[in-house]
Amino acid sequence: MHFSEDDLRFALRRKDPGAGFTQRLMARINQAETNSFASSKIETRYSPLWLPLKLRAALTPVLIAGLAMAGWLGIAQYQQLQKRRSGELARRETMLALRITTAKLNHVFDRVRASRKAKSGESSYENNP
Amino acid sequence: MKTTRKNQRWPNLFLGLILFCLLPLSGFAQNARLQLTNLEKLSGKALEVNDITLEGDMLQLAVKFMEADHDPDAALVKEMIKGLKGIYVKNFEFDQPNQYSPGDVTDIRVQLAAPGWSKIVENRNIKHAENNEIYVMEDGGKVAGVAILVAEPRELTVVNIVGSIDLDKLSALEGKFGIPSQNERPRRKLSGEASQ
Repeated sequence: MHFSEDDLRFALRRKDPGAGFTQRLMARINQAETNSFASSKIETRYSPLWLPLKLRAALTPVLIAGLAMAGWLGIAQYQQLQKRRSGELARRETMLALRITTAKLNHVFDRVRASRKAKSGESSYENNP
Repeated sequence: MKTTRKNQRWPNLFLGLILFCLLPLSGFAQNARLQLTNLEKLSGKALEVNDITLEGDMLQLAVKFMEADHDPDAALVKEMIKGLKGIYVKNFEFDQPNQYSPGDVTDIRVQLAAPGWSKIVENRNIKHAENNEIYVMEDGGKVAGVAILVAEPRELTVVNIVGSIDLDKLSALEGKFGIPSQNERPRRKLSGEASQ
């Protein structure tokens, strides 16, 4: 292929853009600006969701571990509380059981002692009226 | 040949079955625990009910809890309940006399008439319409259980202690850890005893 100087001059000659070129240009500029504004708006609105995707991947195990730890601590706390409650109940019931047992035991002993006393009083009266 | 083997198995199986059937009976004979469920119906009539069931684990838990709280009575209670398997208390206080039937008490006495139990104290007070009894179950020279039965017109108390306990030590607990002593306690009916 060979191009002569005249061919090149012909190809690169000035051309008239035609009527309405300015309007068309301005319209295109406006459209491009609108598009870029809309996309930037979407970007800003949803950025917390899709922008830190990489970060989210790294944070997920940390969050799971945190939740598991909090759950475990909660269960441990609950078990501790339950143990304390049952311990307190056991202590109260043991003391009450011992209290009733001792009181009744001594009540019986007192009755026996009193009856023996009465009997010995009677016999001493019989011996020494 | 096979038939002979089968025949040899039968006496063993039969013996095993008999032993299996006798096993609960042997346990029952040495069990110092009384069945007090027949008294539960009195809860509705009573003004005050103290129904306590403390098994071995609960007793140990109580001691542990007292020790952890640095309770000064912990050592005393621990010493007292170390040989115990259970404490069962049924105490009913009524606002009117004769709210329980003699049959309720007889049910307990029937159980206490079983082999192993022996009555060590009996006090019948006709004047106060009161029956006081203490039973002990002995196993190999050791106390395996105690039963205290106090039947007053307005109060019925059954205490069943399963395990080894020293009654003198228990009696000496009065005045300690909130147990009122004889002088502190209101003496409701004690005067001019006349009993057996």
